[in-house]
Amino acid sequence: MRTRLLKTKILTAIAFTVVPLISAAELVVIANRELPVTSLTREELYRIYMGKTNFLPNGVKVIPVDQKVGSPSRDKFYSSVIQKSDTEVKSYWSRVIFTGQGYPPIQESDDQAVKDLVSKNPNCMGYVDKSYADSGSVKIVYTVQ
Amino acid sequence: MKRILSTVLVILSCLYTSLANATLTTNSALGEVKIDGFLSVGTAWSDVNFLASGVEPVYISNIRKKPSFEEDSNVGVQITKQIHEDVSITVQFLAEADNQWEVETAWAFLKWEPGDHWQLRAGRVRTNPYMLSDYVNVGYAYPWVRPPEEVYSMIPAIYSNSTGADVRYRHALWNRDLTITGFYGVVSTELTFPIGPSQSIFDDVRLRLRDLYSFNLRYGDEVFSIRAGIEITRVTFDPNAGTVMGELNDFLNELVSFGLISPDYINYFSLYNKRTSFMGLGYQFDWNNIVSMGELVKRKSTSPIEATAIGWYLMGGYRVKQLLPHITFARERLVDNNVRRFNNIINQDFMAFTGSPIPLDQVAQSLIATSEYYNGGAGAQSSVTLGLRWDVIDGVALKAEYKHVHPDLMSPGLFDFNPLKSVNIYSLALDAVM
Repeated sequence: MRTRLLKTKILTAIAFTVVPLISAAELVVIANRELPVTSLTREELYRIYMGKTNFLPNGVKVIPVDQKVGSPSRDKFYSSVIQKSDTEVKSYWSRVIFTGQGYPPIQESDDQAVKDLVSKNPNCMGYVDKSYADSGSVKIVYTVQ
Repeated sequence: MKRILSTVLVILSCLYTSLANATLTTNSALGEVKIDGFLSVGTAWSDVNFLASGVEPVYISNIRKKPSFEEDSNVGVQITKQIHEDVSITVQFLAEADNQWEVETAWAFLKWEPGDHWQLRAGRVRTNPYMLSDYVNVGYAYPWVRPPEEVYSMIPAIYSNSTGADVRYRHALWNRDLTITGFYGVVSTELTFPIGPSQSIFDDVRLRLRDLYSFNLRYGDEVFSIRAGIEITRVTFDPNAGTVMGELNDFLNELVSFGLISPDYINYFSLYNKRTSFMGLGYQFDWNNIVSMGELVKRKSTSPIEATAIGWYLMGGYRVKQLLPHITFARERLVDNNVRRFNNIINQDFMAFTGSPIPLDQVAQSLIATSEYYNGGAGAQSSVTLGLRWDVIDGVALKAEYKHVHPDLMSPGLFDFNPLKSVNIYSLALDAVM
């Protein structure tokens, strides 16, 4: 009886520690609730984050929010969605900036800062860990596989 | 120089004031002043032998047996301010080692970008005869220490700093971008030419490119893209009295006045509204760590002091984490070289009248080849480059290169004098962006 109780306790403990870990690994792209978009494709995200467009497919202006180099969410976003290394991205932007063609998205230091900014600015979107994407202030427009 | 510096100071102080007043609204980034910079410190040397005459052939004006920093070192600062939701001002200051670090304004334009499709710019705008023209000064943006000179020395970068306006149209086609750019403007710049027989004093001569039209087409994405460009202009250039070129003009004019040679030779070393064109094709490829680039360009000249030439290069590399080893094959050849067009009568008269021990052919050849901005008589060469780029940290790259240059028979290649054999060039560079 005792061992069974212990087993249950251990299982519960595992469940509570592992499950958040699994969900913590899930990255989502969030947008301000007022931004008229329900979902985006990988190609659309690529164009927005690489500065190739300032607009959503429906013509509404969008301001992407990036994260600083070194943040775990950034690593995941760039490896799965943009599919480029930090070096390649830096080199790409150096070509865009010094030809006067544009600037990289604004950068925030972590998920919390991105979420705060996105929830306050009607044109903003950003990527965060799913645990930061509470449905009250932002909406999910893309889930990183 | 002083004037440029004070201009820079005035602009910087204005920007500082506006920076202090700026409210950083992340929403639109309006009013925010962005300052970016790049820096390259590069050194290069050759293993060239001195010729029997004691002359040391110098490669692309700057590379000698003794390591020098002149060719590949520069620093740039770019300032951009968004003055309206879709209007911005960008100024880029550039100082290059081979220009004694004098500060020049490489870019200074007002940009209006009403949407994703259209962009209009006016001011000091760089035309892009080459695929990498736009960022040719930003070493960090490409794999080599310097882009292959068989292609990139055909039109010196200084010719691309023009004043005018350009329109860019961009359209997404099958998930890739089609970009069309059109430019109209002028270039006014100074070239340096030697004065007198010792050729140790130099004179600045004004060169003008009028009615400069440039069209560019690019299609593709970051994985694969192709581009085609054409530039057409009329060149005017008149050497000052006293320069070697000016004196050669006088000499040939005199022969014409005596009826010894045809009037074709009047002001032979001057250009008046001479039509010149430049065409280029290129591609860029970057997929699964495989990197490749190539360009083919043709400079078409109707002037006797500049040859019609073709240049190309093909580069391949493989990215291994932060390292990019690469190999490049390049070639430049002359299609039609009018420079050595003096017949025996002219050559003999030249030697008789001036007491010169060498015929005019050779004088013209060496003069035009050594003049920093003319390589009319030179250029035919092939090369292989082995290089390594190492991205040390975010925004900093170290590069090392070995280049084996083989000038064509009888041509100095891109040396000022024919080195009479193949030469190895070694280069090291540190490139950073901030």
